[in-house]
Amino acid sequence: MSRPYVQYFVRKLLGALIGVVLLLASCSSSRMVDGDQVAAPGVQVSRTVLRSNVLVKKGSHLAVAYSSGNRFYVSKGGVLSGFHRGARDTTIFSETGAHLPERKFLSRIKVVRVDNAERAYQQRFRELPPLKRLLGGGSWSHEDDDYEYHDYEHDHHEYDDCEYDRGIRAVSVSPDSYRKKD
Amino acid sequence: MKNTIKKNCLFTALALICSVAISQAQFGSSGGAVGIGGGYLDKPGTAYGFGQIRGTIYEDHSVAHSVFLDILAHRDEAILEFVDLGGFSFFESGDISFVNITANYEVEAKLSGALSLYAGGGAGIELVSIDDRFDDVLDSDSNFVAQVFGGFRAHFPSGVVAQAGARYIFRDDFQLLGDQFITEDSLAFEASIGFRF
Repeated sequence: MSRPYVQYFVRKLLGALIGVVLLLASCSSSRMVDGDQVAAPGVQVSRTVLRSNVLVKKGSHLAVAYSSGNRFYVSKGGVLSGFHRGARDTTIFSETGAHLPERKFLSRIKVVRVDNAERAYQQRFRELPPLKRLLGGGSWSHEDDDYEYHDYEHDHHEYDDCEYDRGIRAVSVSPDSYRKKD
Repeated sequence: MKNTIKKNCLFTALALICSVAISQAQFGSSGGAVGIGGGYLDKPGTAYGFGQIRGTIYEDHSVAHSVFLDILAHRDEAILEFVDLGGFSFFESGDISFVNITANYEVEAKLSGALSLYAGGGAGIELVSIDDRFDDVLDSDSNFVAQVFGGFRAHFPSGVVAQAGARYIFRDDFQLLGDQFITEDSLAFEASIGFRF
């Protein structure tokens, strides 16, 4: 085989190899999908975070490029940054004193103030049973191990629309499109 | 107390205009119409649907005066915070629904052919309620709402009416679960289809 042909094949082979390496590198770059994770102390970079719950504690810095379907819980002293590639269906539960992304990146992100981000993260799977079922007599408690029956109505004479009869109360609401008045 | 009186007055005025609209629709010589449609509210940037029942008070070859009841609704997603007996918070998704019920007056200027130009205004109440993921209502509020509107309408021989227009809605702030939320006056663009009877 003549020398020009060898050079041609070597060049093509090298090109293909570089392409494969770049493809593998892009696929293996930090990406989190369907995960529940506590960000490790120090700076972490996650280019893409999808359908995950992530706790950013004090001393941790998580940089995210693109976020979809996530819930971030940020403690005081924790840093969540980035979102320059965009975000959709993303909620940040943030303590006062947490460092959040620049305001221009937050326009499509819901930010909810919480007293304790770590506790909110621990309770992330907690769900209420339907109110109608609760008011139907309390038999739900045998089926739902997560909830203890409490005869709140007999202990407390005041009862309003936003209070379940076992004492779990809806205390605040954060709408997607409306700002709370200071 | 003052608020309750204001709301009662609004309800009474609304009921009065509705009954006029319905009676005109049923018994008036000029007849009435029903219609449904949808549109887009620029603040808060969401879609809405609406329905109308109207009665024509006066009509001649060039102009028509009508009163109508308009029900407009849109939804907004929300995060609800619950506190359990131990004082710990947890969060769930919920929905806030907004239903505007207004009584309106409209003047319609007939242009060439089937096309006409309409404009008017009205006032009423906005019912706001927050429900959890099981659609159980947790809290509600009601506020004053007013609107001015205008657009083009096309009358087809079969009695079908199609229209496209815009409305400007004035809304009061609302209160849910002890917090007050800011609403901004909003421009809305819409299209609808109806039937004259």
